[in-house]
Amino acid sequence: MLNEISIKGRLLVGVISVLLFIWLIVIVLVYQSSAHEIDEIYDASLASYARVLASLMAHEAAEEQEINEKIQQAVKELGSDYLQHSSALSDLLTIYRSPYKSEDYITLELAERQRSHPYESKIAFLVKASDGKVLLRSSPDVSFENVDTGYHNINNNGNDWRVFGLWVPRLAMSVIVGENVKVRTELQDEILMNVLFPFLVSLPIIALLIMGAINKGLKPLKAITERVSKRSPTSLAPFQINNVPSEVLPLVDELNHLFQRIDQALDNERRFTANAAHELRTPLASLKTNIQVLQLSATEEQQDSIDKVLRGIDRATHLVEQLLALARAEAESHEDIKPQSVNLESLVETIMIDTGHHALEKDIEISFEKHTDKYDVQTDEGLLQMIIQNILDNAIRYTPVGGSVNVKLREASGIIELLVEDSGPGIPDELQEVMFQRFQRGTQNGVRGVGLGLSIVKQIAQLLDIEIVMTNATTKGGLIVRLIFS
Amino acid sequence: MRVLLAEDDDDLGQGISAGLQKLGFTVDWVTDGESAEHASKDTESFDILILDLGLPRQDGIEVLKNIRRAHNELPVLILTARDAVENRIEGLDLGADDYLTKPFDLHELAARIRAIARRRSGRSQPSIHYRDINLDPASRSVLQNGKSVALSQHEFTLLEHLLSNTGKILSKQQIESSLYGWNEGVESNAIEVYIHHLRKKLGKDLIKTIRGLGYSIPLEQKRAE
Repeated sequence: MLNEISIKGRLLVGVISVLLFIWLIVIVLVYQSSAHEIDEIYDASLASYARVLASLMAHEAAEEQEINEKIQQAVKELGSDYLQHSSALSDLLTIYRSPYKSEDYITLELAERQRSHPYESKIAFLVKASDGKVLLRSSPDVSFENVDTGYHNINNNGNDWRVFGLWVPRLAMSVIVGENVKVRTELQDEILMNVLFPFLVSLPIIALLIMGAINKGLKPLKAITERVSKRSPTSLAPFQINNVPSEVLPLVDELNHLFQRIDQALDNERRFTANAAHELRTPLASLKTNIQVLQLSATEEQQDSIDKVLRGIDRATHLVEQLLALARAEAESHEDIKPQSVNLESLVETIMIDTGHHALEKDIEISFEKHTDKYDVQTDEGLLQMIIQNILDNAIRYTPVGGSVNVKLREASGIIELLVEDSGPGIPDELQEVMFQRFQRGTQNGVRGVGLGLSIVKQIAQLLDIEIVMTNATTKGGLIVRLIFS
Repeated sequence: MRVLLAEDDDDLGQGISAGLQKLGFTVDWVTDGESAEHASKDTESFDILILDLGLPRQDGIEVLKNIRRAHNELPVLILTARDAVENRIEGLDLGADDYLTKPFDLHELAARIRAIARRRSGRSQPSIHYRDINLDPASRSVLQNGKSVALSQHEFTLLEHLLSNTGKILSKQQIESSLYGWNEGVESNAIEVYIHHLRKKLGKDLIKTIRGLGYSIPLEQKRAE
């Protein structure tokens, strides 16, 4: 896409890359800051769990101590003698008389209740006495025994845990609360997914929107492109400057300058052609007239030479006319052509009647065949005449004395064809393409032509969008030139 | 016949003057547009103006415009080195009688001058000789090998038309308009019938049929000047 230097493609790829890059940064930042915040919150709650647990333990201990003290008091008041009478009471009081030991009062079962939340398995705690003896444990597989005070990351049974140890000096015991790290990573992942999902869903929509915006932005450029492509290849009219985006304006300006320069050059060429016509024809006319004056009083002997000079003048004249016609056809542009309805039948008839005498002089049989008289085409009559004239001239020129030239007009499925068939030597297939080049002449010697006719024909046919097909006739061996008007 | 020639090229002007004089014309030659217009006012002296379009001081087209604007009916034959069709059409539209493109044939020029002068003066043509045929427009009679050939009105007009245009192809429409200028009804195959009659009376090789176009009497092999 980039290789084709498509502005649309480049913009789309560029904008989406930038967008994706920004999204990536946003996602990384969101992930990092959410991870940090989650750590803060969870660490804080871990600490408060420990403190709640510690204060619960303290409360329990204080209660026990109070009971203990009251029993001590009662024992003192009752006296040891009284107690000796009731061994059962003595046993009961003995239990409470010993110094406070939490393990005596808090049972493990308390902590191993049924879980009420799946995350509970990911939270664990352990309480141990200063001598390392475990007083309380949330589940048997919790091994937080070697944890110091403060926050730590430890491995417990193959899982990563975040633990917080709290030393409670009043009770001389440590409270350790831990939490499976999975809780945090799962939450982080979920937050990430929550951020990522709308991004991923909206990406194609955003791409479409961007494409639409780019299309809209490039509309003026597209409009200019369309205007350029709609122009005829030979048009040199300047572009209208309005509605041209400022980015393209210099280009359009340059194009207009270029058009202007070319137009001037063509104009000069046209003027040169017109002047050259005058400058070349007048001396030729002078030559011819003066030679003909000489001829009026020439001897038989001189007559022969004068004929040769006259033939030379005629050839030079023909060359000049063809050159001028070619120059004119080349200077002509599509703009100059004002198509009008031309009746092919009457045009061909006029041309044939005008040039027919050349054929009659060579005793060439000419004929014109048409099937209806509805051969109207939209074209430039003068230029079309030049084409038909040249083709007919060629046919008569290259057809030997006593031959034939047949012109046919026919129509098939809306396509009008003009055929010029001659009984001349034809043009070998391999030479047919070359024949349209300047100064190419057929293989036949002794025919006076300058080899410009077909290049004029080609030039004008291109201008008028007329297709020309040359084929060699299989029966008579001559050339068939088809003009196809579609 | 007196010809006013307006041509700025010295060599060509001299050539035309000398040539036309040798062919029996009297030639007055001017070299610019203003002189041409001035001389043309002397309508009694000249039978025709041969006008080059590319004249100094005043363009030939301007000269022609001014002449016609002054209601001067002097016949004008345009000589032009410009070949643009519009130029010729403009000349004819402005009232020129004919045009020739340079370079031209001296004899053609002389023939055109005579034709224009004839048309203008209304004088009838001299008799036409073609091979063994002698056609006299004045008496409307045709002789072949000295023997009179009886032709109908239309047959005569058709033959005269063809013999006046030897070497050229005449379309059926051209022939029809020359035969039926006076709004006669035209039968579709009337021309064919007349041609058939002419061939029967004068020989079948005289008139050539040009298929799809019209008819022609070819040029005589050697033109007698």
